[in-house]
Amino acid sequence: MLKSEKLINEISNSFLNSYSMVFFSKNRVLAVLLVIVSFFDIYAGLAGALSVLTANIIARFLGLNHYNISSGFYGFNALLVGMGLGIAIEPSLPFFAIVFFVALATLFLSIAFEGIMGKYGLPYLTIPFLLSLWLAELAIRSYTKLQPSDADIFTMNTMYARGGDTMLLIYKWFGDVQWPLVVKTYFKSLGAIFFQYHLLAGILIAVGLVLYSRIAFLLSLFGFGAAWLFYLLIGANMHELDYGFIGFNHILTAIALGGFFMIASRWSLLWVLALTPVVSIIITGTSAILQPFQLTVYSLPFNAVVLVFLYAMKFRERMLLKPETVIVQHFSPEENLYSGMNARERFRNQLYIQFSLPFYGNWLVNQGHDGEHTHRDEWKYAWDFVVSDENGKEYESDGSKIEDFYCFGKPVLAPADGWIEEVVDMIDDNEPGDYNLEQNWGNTIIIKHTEGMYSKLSHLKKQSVLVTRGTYVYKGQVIAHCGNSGRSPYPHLHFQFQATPFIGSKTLKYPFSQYVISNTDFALKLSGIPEEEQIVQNIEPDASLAKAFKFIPGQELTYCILESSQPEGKWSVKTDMLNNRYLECATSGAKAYFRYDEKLFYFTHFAGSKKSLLYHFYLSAYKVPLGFYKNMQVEDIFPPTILRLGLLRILQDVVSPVVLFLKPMYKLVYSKNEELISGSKIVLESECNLKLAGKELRHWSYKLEFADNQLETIEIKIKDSIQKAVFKKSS
Amino acid sequence: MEKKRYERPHLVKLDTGMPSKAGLRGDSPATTRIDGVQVKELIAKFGSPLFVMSEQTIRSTYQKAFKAFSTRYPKVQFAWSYKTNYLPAVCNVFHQEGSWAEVVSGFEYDKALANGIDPGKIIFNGPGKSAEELKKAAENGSLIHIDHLDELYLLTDLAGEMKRKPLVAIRVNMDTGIYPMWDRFGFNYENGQAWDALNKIMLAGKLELVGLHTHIGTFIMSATPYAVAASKLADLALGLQQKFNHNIRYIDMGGGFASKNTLKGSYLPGADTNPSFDDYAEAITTALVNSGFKPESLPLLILETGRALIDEAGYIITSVIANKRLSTGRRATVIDAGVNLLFTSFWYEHPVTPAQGFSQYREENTLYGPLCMNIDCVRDSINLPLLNKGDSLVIHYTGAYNLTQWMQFITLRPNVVMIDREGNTHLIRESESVNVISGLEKTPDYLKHVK
Repeated sequence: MLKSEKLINEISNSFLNSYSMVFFSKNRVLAVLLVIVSFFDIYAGLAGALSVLTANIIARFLGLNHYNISSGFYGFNALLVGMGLGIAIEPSLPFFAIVFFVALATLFLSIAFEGIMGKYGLPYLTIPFLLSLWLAELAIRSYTKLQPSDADIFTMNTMYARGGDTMLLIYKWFGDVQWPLVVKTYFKSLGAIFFQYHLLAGILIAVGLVLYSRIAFLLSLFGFGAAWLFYLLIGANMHELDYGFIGFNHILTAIALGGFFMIASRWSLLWVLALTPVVSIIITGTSAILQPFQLTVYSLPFNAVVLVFLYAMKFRERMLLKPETVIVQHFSPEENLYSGMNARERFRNQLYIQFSLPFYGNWLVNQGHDGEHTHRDEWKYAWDFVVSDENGKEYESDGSKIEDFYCFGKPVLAPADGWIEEVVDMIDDNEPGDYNLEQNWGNTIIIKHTEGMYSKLSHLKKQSVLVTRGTYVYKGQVIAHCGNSGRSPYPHLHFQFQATPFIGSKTLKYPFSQYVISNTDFALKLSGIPEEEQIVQNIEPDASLAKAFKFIPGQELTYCILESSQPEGKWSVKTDMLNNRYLECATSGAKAYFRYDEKLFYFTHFAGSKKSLLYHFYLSAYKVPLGFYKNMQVEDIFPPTILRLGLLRILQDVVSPVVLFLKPMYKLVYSKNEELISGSKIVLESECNLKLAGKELRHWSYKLEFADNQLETIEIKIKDSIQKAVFKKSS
Repeated sequence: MEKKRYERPHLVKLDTGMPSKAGLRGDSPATTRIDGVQVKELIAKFGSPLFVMSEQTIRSTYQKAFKAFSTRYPKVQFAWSYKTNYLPAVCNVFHQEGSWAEVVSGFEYDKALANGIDPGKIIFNGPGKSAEELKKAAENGSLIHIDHLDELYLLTDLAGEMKRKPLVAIRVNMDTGIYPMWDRFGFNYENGQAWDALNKIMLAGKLELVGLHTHIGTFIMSATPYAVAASKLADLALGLQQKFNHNIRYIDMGGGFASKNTLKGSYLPGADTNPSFDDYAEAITTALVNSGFKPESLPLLILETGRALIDEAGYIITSVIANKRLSTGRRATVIDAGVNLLFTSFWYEHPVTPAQGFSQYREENTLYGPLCMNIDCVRDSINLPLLNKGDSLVIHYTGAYNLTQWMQFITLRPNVVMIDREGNTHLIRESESVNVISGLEKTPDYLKHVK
């Protein structure tokens, strides 16, 4: 892309996003509609646009963060200030000069509040706008060259002067239309956000909102409706009260807390309901305070309620309680909801320290959590692991010697990196059947992984410990051998997590990051707690699969689709500012974001053309554990946004805070592996499947073939048509 | 009540019941069944002598060995040593269990291919590979273990005209503290030959070095030498990492694990004294784990053990041809299986048990085979019950090497059967007929007539 082209792109992005960001959106259509609405009052529109450009260009000139600029973060406050001034002041040359400098001030206020609020992890919303506009309004009263505008007082005159007959007719039609008061007030309140207390403005914004997000639109209705009812209840008449600022505070609060900063759910709706009276009280209260200065409250109540609420949410001890806070902001309530929906299941791994099982090979959980023998009370979150043979026996010959037990003497590994906190190594191993109740934990190692996170391995073999106190050990390092010391009648490995560094500390419920259950068919478990009778092993990555999925930024994959009109294609592996890695399709520009952690590959997000091969690769390799276990099945759920479903999707959006009925399922089967030193030949089969009320709406099957440590082919089967893409071998 | 069995009259020295210097008198029970199948029935159906392989024993031995290693080391791969027993049925039991193939000749290589194993899973060992064989194996992507410099040069030359880079390892020999030290295969570690070969491979760049191989000897009755060997190979691997920034993918520790057989001249039975899989596994894996590899980058551990995996799964059922008394008065028994079938009787004292019930009486005995050849002695001295002509015996631990080293000498070779896990018997090699042998023979016309 040319440099100038890039610059124009950036300017237009930042300009449009500054408009849509007022509604927490980056939606283009909404942005264009908002620009149109802003120009209903041509001078207000001009002042707004001038203000936005000023803020964004200066931000760019100052060298502020490009992403923030093009997202419109520095523009939307300036926009509102500019329009506010444009409405209030008669246009003139000094006026536009003032707009320019107020925009500059707003930009600096935005930066200041970004710094202040950012420390608390809070957004600055429209606080810069409030301060700037109030100060400007107060100041302008003493600037004699600037005349207060009467545009909003003698509306008809203004319309005629600025838009001629047609404009006046349109204006009149909407003024006379006989709609219920509540509907009219709703639209006017929406319009008021852009200083246009007018039906048409409100309708256009509503259309934009629907296109941007069904949830946001519903929330605006919900918030407004709740407020309307509340005002009825307390005996006030909303539409008569001060100029519609009332309504839009409720609407913005509903969108912000109902679905943007919090994940939309019945709980977030409930909070919107509960906060309605609070917003109302703040409106009335602050109005009274500002009265002596003849200032309007604008969006102050919205800011106050949202910020206080979000701040309060930070004090929760359990972040996953309802309503959930949005952690990764997608700038769409739908995306926030759908990607947050199974994110907890999908990305749970990321929340915990990654612990692996402390042994090689397959071990049986002989006593799990809440076990019937010793895993009780304070020590209930512990595991006893042993080795058993194909007949379920734990020893060979008659088991009269501890050496007969398969697990005896086997290596014990560090489950994660850490420091050795405590070592006991000189207690004798018991003969089978004996107990040592005096030193009941036997030989033990405690590893400190981080503050408040310890793991403890007990009943180790006498003098088998290979580390000393203070040693730093690495995950998977052999640190001792399994034994039969302490309260251990038969050799086994006792393992527990604990929050304190002592032998005998209370256990802590904490998962292992990923392992394979291999009792009958192989089953993958991510972030799970092995249960009694399960035979478990660490995922041992298949070197070829691990290499094939290790996409390194800068790498390119070229393919050719057999029997197709557009046969050639290329993906590039890229990485962005936030260290996200993604594959980008050179022709369509589609992006598929992924994560890779040596044992697991998964896609996190897809954006772009759903006709691209990359889209199908995203669907087919949504989650791929990198160890090969014959016939192992992996399942997952796609967000409903991933398929084109037309009306169904809109219906889903509408009811999404309450019920989710579109669940495209992902299934992966490890069908074939010829394990070779030169690179295994591997076949994975996957499918994307959507069922609704027993009817199959989508059933796409994929076959991925790997050879020579790379992806070789993707076969896509949709209904009866089969397409095959062959990848070029990289040397 | 069953009719009492006739036993011929005999004289025995008064036995005080004290153990002799060779330990307690071995009173092994009769082996009337193998894996639930009556020996009598087997003879009736397949004749005598008869080789019997037990699928159940093969699989459980394999699983035991695999478990011994896989609970001690993250990545383990067995490769079935074809020369130990290359009957397709036997090989494929191992392949089904997950074993790769380890071959030492073009013939074995072709056998492995015919068994249907992926060529990428064949390890080609041995000092005698021809240019054609090397080329074929390399182009198939098999793993070639280079034995000597001439082979290295040959393969480097051949690599120039091949589409893919040959995947190679070198065989290393070394002093592991045992006698005799095998130094005839591969490159020596101590005198720098191994490094010389590695340097040549790395600098020439024609071959892809994927592994390191050693095979320290055979029937090694201590696990410690394996620990020495593993650390020496690990040392080479880590050296390659440092010097060439090259990571090898595997370390192949070869085989040589002792089975339960007793070597001639041993004081105690091999079943009691030979190291177990756990002992070998402990020595090898501990050495590798402690050698300085990062936990997540430990190379694949390949094991080529043959004998220890199959010896116990093989039986020979044989019948008494005659009883004799030698000039010294010593008893001798002639049976229908001799050293032509039981090559390993040259170095083992194979356990032999009767296949039918007997009384408590025993007699010192020498077991001779049917060959008219002085060497044909199966056991020099063995305590056996009083056998009659036509009685059957079962010779144990015969699974390794006998089915590959047996001779078509004087007689023809008998049937080989396998008993599956459900107790069904399958013929896996048919007995030879005269035509099999004479069909290959050519006689010049002028010699066709004896008159």
